[in-house]
Amino acid sequence: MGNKSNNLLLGALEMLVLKALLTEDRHGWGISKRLKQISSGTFTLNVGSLYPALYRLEKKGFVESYAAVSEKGRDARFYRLLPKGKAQLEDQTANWREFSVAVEAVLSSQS
Amino acid sequence: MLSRLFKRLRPRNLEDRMDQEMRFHLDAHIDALTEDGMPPEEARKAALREFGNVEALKEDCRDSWGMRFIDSSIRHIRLAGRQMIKRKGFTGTVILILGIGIGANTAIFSLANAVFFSPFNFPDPDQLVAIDERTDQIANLSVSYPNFKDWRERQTSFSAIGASRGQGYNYIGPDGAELIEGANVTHDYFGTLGISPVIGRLFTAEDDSPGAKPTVILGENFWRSRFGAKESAIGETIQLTNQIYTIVGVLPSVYPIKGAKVWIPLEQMAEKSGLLNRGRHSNSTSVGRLKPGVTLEQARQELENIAAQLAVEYPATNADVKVDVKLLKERYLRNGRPIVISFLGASGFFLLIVCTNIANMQLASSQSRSHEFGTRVSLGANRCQILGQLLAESLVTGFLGGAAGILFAYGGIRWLKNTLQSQVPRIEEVAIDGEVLVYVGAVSVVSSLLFGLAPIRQTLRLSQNDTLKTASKTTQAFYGRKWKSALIVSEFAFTCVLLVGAGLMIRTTANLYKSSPGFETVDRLTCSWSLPSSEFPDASQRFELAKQAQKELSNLDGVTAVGIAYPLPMSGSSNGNYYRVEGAPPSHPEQRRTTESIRVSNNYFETMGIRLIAGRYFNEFDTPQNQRVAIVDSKFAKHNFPDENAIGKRITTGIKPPSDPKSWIQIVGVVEHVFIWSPAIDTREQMYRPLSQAPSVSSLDFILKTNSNPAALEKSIRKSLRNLNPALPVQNIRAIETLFDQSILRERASMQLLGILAAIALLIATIGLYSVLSYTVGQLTSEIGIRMAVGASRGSIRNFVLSQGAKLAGTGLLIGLLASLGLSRFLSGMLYGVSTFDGTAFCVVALVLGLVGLAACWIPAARAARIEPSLALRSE
Repeated sequence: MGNKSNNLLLGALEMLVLKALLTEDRHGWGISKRLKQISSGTFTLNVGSLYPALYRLEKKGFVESYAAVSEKGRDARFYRLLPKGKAQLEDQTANWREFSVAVEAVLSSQS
Repeated sequence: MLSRLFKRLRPRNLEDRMDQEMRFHLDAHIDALTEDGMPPEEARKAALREFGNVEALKEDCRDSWGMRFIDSSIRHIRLAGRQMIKRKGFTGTVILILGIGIGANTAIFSLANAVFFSPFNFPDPDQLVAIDERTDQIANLSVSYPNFKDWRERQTSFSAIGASRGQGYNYIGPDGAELIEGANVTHDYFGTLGISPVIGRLFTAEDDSPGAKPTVILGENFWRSRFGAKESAIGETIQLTNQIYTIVGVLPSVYPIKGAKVWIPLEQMAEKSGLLNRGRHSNSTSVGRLKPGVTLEQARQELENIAAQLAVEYPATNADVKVDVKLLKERYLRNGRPIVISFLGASGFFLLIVCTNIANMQLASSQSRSHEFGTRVSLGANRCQILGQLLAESLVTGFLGGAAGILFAYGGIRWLKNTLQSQVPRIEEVAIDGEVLVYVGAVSVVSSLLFGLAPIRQTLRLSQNDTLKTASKTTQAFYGRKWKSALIVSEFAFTCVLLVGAGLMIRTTANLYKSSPGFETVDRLTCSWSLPSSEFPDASQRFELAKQAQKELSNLDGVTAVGIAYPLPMSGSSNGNYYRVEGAPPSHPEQRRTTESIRVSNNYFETMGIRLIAGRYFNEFDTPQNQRVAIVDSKFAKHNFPDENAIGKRITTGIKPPSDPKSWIQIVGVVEHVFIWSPAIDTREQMYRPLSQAPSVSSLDFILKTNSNPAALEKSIRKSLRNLNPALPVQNIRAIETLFDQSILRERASMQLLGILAAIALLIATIGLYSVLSYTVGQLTSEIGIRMAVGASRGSIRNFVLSQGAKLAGTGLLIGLLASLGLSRFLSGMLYGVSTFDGTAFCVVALVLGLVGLAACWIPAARAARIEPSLALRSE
């Protein structure tokens, strides 16, 4: 049981990262800023989770990375969403929605 | 594409990328914080705080990247190295102990490897078959040449069979006369073995026919030392024992033919050496190469049939002669096998003890490190990572131990070579080679798994619990330590087995030294002198020469008496004869007996110190003209004349009564039975004839009774015999005591090896028990304090600890004794005068192990009894 919920959370994390890359290519810092921003501060993504997730996604072929210069003129590594990642994001989003509806239904039932 | 693949494979790229990416993240974070108005120094601190442990992060990234296995292995090994350096003393001890264990094992493996697994380097050695003869009394009879020729003609199972017969040759070299080892071989002997010449050619069927031009093949070493390895040696001639031979080839020095320096076709020598007599089984051995597809059993069947035919065709000589067919390597392993097996077993047990002990040490240390692991687990390390590290530590220890083991093995092999020498074939070739190194690697891995397993299991369990809680420490102390207890028990059990083995061998060796060889061993020297019949065709001429030599030697300073015998006990030769007692019914061929037949000078018995039981020794009246006489040993007398006096009885050699009644030999004396090979080997009955009546021997052994240091006499012996005849080689000047020591070398060597291993094992096991108890007492301090506070006496505390230790040692001892009962039978082939269930050995071992175990418990027990309750309780 512990493992499954872990997977779910891990999946959710990856989903969020992919989502952050949907609009534009970003570096790690950018992704964490973006997520914080769109979740209105709910998700402060720990670096300890972010980077391993990014490496995992790259390994799976969902994103690719390249070296570029940041808006502040520093050397940075940017991540770009690949078509395979986009498909994964859509898949996962659908799953998540289904799941959260189900959870909501359970929680709001009058038992 | 390729560069991408490269990136994936190269962790260094990944490392750079991670460094760069994290630096960027950190900088960006600091920027963001300062923009929000935080002072730069504080911003930096805050950002770093959020970052947490960079190394842990990198570790996770690497995992994500899939570099996990390679990378984590490298990391684990690096970490293991660091941990091991941190605990230098511990690591050093472990590596030392493991090194001794692996070293002993490796040395013995290289011995076994050379002896068992690759006894010789011929092509397809498993097709080579040794063909010998035997009768029901004599298990190993050498091959009669005419029989061999009939086998060769009639057999269909072998692609070739060849025979060889050892024969010494007189060679006059730059250093004077020298008796060199040689052999007479049939022309196809080397072809059968599959040996090719270094230069020149092998013998042909023409070389190996009567009246052929005398040809010789040289051994490589002889050719190098005497002919400077010149190829022009082919076609040159060489004089060997009064005959000129043309050199046709040179053979490589490979076991088992490497001893010989010259080979001469057998047929050329057959008539001269009396080999055409079918009844003469003189020193020949034969070997065959199985045709492809023919099994050993089929070949044996066929040869047995041929032997049965020959028994019918030549009943006089072959009635009871059978063939003995076995794989060739069996012939060479016969001697070395029991000793190598016992050595392998002993070193195996020894390594088990070593591993058990190291497991115990690791266990103790992993317990004291449980805090380290606990901390790592609560900081997020998973179990796999900790196990990986432990495994890496074990493996690194294992390999370092293996490396140390190779050093010890070098010493061990030198010891084995010095000690075993002649007992084991090819021992001089034993070395640490590629195969042995592979073995060391395998042993290192297996033993590191063995001793790594226990701590790993424990850590698994520990990391499941919350190890940061130390409260469980005391309650665990005795009862939660099943592993440690089991290890101590097995250590004691293994040690017990080794000790029993050592005890049995010590008893055996002591018995051998105590056993009466039947003659005196102190202050006696032997040397042999060869008298080739080709040079001295007349036997009486040889006898005259022998008497002259005897006189010369008696005149030497320090020599009090000189006797002559052929063959002398322990000289490595033996001479058998059928015999028949007058008046006895003709015996069935199956029941014919042979006797050891020895020719001696009149004073041999006094010189050798062989006790006369009845009758008289030989004297000057026992001449060729007078009654033929013999002296027999007590075994002979007891067997043939159980209820009568043997003196005056008449016997004859051979199986038929002599045609001339005067040829009966009268028994005039009965002497003590003596051993021929070693006191451990039972020998047949013995019959002595006076040299004066039976002088036809080709070699003589002198026995010199001395009153000064025998070794100092060597020079003067050589000198006086050389003065007599410079062409006759003098050989093997040795003290009888040395010969005796060598004759029981196998038993002595096993005793030494088992003794050394058992002593080290005892030490290791004792330290193991001591340290486990000490550790436990340390852990239990507060519990003991409480017990004392509520009224336990010091004596009861001490007894409690003692009894815990005694239980472990006692259980181990009991298991060990039971196991020894089963295992000691592997030694049975080497025991003398001791049964495998020898009560004395078992009792002494039990006593020694028990006392030593008790001593190991005493110190920790005394320490426990001295604990001050007030201090102990405060310490918690």
